[in-house]
Amino acid sequence: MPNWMTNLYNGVAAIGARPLRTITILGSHDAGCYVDRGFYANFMARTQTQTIANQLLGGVRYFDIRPCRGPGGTFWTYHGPYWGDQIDGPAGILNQVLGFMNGLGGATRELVILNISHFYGFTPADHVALTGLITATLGAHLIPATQAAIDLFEAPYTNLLTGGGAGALQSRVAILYDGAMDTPVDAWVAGPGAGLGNGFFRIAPKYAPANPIELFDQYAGKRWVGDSWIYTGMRTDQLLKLRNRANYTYTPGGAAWPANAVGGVPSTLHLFSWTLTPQPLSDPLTVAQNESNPALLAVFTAAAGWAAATYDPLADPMINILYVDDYAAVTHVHGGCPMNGWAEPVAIASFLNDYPAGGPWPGWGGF
Amino acid sequence: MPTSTDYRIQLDRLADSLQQTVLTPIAAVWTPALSGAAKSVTDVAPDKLAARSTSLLAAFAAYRPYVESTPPARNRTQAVAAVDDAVAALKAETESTTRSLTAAKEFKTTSEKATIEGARSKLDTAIVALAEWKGAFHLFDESVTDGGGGGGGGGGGSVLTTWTTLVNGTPYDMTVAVTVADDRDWASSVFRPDRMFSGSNGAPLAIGRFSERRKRSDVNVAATSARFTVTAKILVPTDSIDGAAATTLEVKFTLDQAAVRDTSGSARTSGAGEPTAPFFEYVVITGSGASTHIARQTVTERPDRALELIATIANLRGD
Repeated sequence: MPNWMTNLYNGVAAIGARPLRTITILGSHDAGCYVDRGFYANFMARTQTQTIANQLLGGVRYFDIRPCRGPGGTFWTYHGPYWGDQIDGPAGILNQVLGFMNGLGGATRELVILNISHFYGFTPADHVALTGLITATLGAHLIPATQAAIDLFEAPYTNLLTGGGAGALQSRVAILYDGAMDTPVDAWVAGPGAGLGNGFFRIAPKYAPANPIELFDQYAGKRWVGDSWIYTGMRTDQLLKLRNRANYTYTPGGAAWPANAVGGVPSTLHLFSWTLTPQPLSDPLTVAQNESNPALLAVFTAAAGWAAATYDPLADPMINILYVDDYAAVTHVHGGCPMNGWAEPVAIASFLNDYPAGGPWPGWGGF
Repeated sequence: MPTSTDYRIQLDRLADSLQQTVLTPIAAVWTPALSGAAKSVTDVAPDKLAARSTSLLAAFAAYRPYVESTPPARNRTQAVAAVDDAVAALKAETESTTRSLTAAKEFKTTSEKATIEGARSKLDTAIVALAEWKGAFHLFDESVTDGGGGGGGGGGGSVLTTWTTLVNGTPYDMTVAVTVADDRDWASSVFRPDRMFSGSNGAPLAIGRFSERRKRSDVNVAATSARFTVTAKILVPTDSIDGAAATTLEVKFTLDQAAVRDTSGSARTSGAGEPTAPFFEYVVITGSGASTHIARQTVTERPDRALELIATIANLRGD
């Protein structure tokens, strides 16, 4: 599974010609929050169990990285009072990504997206330091183009891997810098002097970059997967948001999103947030392992009593980022399936992409 | 109850871990290539680090008999503190060496800089491993069942043996000092928070980042409360990006060890062993760090049915 995107690139799916808005990848919520800080520190905060390096090897390609400041000018991830892994440092997240990218062969065609947002306690100097660190560490692997030169969500996938021809065709990393609509505009990120270089992208309408891109990411805020007599659950919530996106606003009280469409909307990605958060009386890992992740496949393959509760790849808009906690909690088991033994969310994401170029998605047969 | 052989095996494992993850990697940094690239450092640092390493080994060797005796000696505080001091000295020397290596990169070739950076990185890794070893050492020491019970105490009455754990949930080193409200609340002159959470010669006790200290607390059964005040000093180093100078933040709060008895209390979890739904009670804190930190407590029951109060100092942040 480290090369699942490469397989799609080289296979009948031929994703090289497709824009990202027509591709499904797996995303990791609070991706850096995998460190075991002890039972009481982990509780309500720890969302993953594997390092970034292992998440990459397991097939995750979108990472939700939330940085805060640490001792002596270091950068860490956080989730409330919980401290995740360090971002910098020899074993930190950036070097884990670097190790993965360096380990990929020149013939691979993977794309890794780091969405770095929810900066805590950041000054302009901190942004300068962090973006500099990202460039210094991952520079050789970043998309070799600025946002002014390429539309990250609309350009053909091959163009992302070459920066529109500016660089060699190889696996790449893209940085969404402050890719969150639920935090205030950051003056440094917005400022013309931000000078974010190759591989860095900002989202609209929060910011006004050239080649604006938009990311719909609105979690359910539910405690349960299914509906109760009174309340809708996460499944209904996320399907409604996917299908009726125009009923939701960019920010509370703000402008409404444009309608979604089968095949996606230009320059826009839709994140399907399959995370039961917050959990006031339980724990993200516990509910991911026991409730949400075991229920994920049924969203795609089983009509849970009524058709509207099932995602239809042929009739519904694209899910571009399938977003989970503890992504490896459930393993896909099907002896005849090429994804047998994969983390199930990765298997689902990969299978959703696997149809011949220009052809319709063939269904779940064989999955 | 573990035997002296059991303890000896665990001590051997600790000794092996110290050697393999800390001391040997530090010693292995000094290669001919590094000598060529950073002679000013390699002329001096190896001997200093070797001396600190030897001191740590000696302190650990001096601690071992306290535990290997039958029963294990109660008064190990100074021996533990000596290990802590030796760890701190080795950490300081290693950090000083990494700074010297960084400075030595100036005016060097690309290849020499890479050699120096590789050595510096390995020393960084050893520093992290040293902190982890120290945490493991303390967890071991706290797990040792001492010979004899609490040595007399104030107020008479039966003894309720409980446990107190202070957790440093931050990436900053801290020290703690504890005072008790009333001597009569405690059934032991030794197993009480102000004595147990104390370094050598009564100095504040160090709790490293993301570490915890678990100590026995013998409450007087007749006491209606057993309050103690924790004063934590959080050591914030110089910020290399923002230029903020090093500072110390203080976080002060009061806990009641007798809360462990309240089965219907707000901070009480349910069941023995690992609780499935711990309830955190936020504690009022004062001090210069009060606006940026939280202290929260929970109470649980250990597998051996001993009651434990756990207080965590963490950063105040949203999601």
